[in-house]
Amino acid sequence: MTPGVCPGTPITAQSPDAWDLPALNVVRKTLANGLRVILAENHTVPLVFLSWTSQAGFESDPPRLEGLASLTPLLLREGTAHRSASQITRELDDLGADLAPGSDWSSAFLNLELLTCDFAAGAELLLDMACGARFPDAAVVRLRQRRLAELELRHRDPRALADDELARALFGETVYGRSPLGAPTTVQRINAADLAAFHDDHYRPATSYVVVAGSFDSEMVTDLLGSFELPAATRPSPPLPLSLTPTAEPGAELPKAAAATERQSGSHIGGPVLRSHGGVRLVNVSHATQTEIRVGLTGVARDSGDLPGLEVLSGILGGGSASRMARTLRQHQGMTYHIRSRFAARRLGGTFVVNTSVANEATGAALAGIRHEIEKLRDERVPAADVEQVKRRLLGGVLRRFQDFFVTGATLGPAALLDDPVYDFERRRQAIATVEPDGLRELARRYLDPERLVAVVVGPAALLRSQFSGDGARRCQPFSLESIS
Amino acid sequence: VIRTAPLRDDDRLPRFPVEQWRLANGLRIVVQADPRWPLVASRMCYDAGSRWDPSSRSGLAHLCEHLAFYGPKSPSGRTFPERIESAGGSVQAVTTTDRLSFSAVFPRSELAAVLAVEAERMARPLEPQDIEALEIQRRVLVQELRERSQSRLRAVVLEQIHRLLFPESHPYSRPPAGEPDNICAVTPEDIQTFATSHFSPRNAVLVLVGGLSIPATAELVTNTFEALPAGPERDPQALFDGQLPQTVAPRRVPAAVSGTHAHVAWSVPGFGQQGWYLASLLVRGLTAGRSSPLARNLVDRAGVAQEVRGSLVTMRDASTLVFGAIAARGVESGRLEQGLLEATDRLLSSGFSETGLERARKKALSDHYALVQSFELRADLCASLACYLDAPGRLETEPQRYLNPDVDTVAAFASGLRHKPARATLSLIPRAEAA
Repeated sequence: MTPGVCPGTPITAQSPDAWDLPALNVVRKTLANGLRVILAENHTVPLVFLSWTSQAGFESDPPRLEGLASLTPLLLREGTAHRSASQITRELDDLGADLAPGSDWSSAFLNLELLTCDFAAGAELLLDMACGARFPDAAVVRLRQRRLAELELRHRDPRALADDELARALFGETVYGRSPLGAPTTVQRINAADLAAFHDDHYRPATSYVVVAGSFDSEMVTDLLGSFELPAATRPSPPLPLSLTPTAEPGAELPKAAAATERQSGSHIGGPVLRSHGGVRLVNVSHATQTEIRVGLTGVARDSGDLPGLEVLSGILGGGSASRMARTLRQHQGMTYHIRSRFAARRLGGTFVVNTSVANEATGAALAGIRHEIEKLRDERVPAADVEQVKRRLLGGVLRRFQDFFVTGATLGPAALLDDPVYDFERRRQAIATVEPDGLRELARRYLDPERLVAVVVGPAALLRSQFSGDGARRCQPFSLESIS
Repeated sequence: VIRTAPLRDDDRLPRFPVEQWRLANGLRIVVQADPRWPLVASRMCYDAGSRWDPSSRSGLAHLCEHLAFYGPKSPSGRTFPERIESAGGSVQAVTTTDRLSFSAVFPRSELAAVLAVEAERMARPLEPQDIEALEIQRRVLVQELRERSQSRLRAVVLEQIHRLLFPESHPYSRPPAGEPDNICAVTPEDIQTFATSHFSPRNAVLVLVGGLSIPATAELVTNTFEALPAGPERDPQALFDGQLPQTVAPRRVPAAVSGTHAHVAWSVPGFGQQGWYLASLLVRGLTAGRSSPLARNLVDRAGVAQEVRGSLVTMRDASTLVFGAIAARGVESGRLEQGLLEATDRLLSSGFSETGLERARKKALSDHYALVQSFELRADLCASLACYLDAPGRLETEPQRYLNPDVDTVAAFASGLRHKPARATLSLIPRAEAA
């Protein structure tokens, strides 16, 4: 029994080895009809999570049709060979079900949450939408208009402007440099035939998974899913791109940033990448009452062996309320409400991004503070206690994530398209546990070059410009102003 | 056409046994043991929400929450969140109208470390005379409000609706997050008074959900907290003894929206009251899904809206039922507002079908189960049941409360709402249209 504890008595946290991390109870199989399924039983409540996940993310966008991959899952509910859009809507509402379509860089999904007693009805409906979708012209026109309005709104949203500008600065005219929602010119081009062809190419049983998580009977579910007739592929799937190459339209002039990029030999991100140029890019939003800040670099692909170490490094810098940047910029200086950093790894490359917003007049000082903390990681050895704290936080995060069966279900499909999802879960956990302080400074020196840091600030140029240019006392010394738009 | 299955008994009541007891110093303990995963979610809830803010100090509770989140300077130099994160946990703090909570989720073997932090926080939550810390957190809080006003339309809408539904002297009329002017006026003495009055075992409930053994947890909790003094007795707070407004003038607010967002809202019973469950079913029955009655009226038939929404904002002594609609392209504010008012009036008076009620029940149950399948959210629900109703054991019977009301009861509630005089109407209109 644990001894009595009085306030003020220090309690030492236990080693993560004592956390009795469980194994994931997951079954993966291919059914006779060709359907690949992942089953994760959890009988806490009579609810079930169902997902169709396909290898159809933004990376699969055909040239000149950017935005197609992200539009496709939104249209799956607009009618099938067996049901009209209004029938689908009525059936979903009768089930009290939540339907969530979406996509990321590598996968697209259609998620459904409903009561276990309605599993059979929900599964039939989900497979009909995923495999039998038609793309009626009227629905395509409506969704296209909505997407154009969304793009228009993003032009006025400082957070979206900051994200998009940083992506452009880091990746130029490659797929990662463009908005996954597409651009007005490419969205305008997308028609029903494009959607049907994309769906036919990418939403196939052979390149997809059905994930079932929650309370269900495995045998019954396997029998039921195996009984569905699935469409046969009419042509081979198009291959995924193998490297980051510019996808600009033929004849179009590359923007300066992309034209100035150079291939990095011996790249660490699994393919040729763009070298970013340091400096501040200021996007003017004259009425903004605060400034959105992004500071970033190109990072690593998700199969990089350095990723676990970089996750720890980023955790020390800007993960959680006890991270270095949160301590200095929020807790000690009161500059911001939120600040975080992240290495986001994708198939062909990734990013390192610091994300925050501050009062307009504090922008220069915030950037200087961010850079200072990054330089410290390169100059000084990280104390072992700090490393241990972050490793514990990350491992605790894994434990938290897989307690929730919705999150588990939503994680397993995309993970399975890349690898064995359970193996991935175990491997990442073990890789983080073995990160040692000694290697971190070397990683920081390789991946966090302050001279290449790109800073994007979105706010009123009239108040921000002087913080980055001229010799005034308020100038932010470590960064120089590169562009204003 | 597929058929949905009828709700059966075995879909209704998963087992979530709850144990509760009280220490001699008044601290209430609620434990819901669930051995299925080696994780624990904790909530230390103080009856110290924004309802206790003095009228000229809105945001005082929120500011105290920010200060107590980190805690006073310690000899080790380690803050409370650092210590919990070292134990593999994640931390958060929240101030609502009715409570102030510190939450954590962590591996079960770290329970002693996390409880030690909460006991220290209870004994000495903050240092009122640390002027530097106060000024820093004041700036952080103002920055938080600025972010909220730019990025969270829903928060802006609710703030405005509550100002319309409740008179200025009512605690629910003020935003729990505070207002910049009031936050700037807070003094160290205000902080001292608030902390002394509210951060004590007598005013707190500790909720633990997850992979726990009840006997071991009981012993650990007792050893950790029993030495703390109970704290001063507070005068019972009268929430509000005046009159709620009988009529409410419509309000339009310019905002960064591309089309008008119109809302109509009523004050309804607080969390856990019978009327609260009726309101839950009503809002789902009328607005959940694209084939909901409100969507059919405004999107499909009238063509004035592109989307409709409904929500029930829950507080202890009153909740707010909101129906909303976003204008279809080219539809002016006045047309949308009129359409929304006419449609809600028609729907509230036209009764409820069995099919509509069955849909609402299924949606309510799946929402409820989605909540309680997660330790963190189950701990939140336990905390609400414990703090507001002193009935955490109701966690097990909550689903039944959505299944009990029949069509006539829901229809009568809807009709009563229609005849309530105090109805707030609020529209966010595009800045260009406002100009």
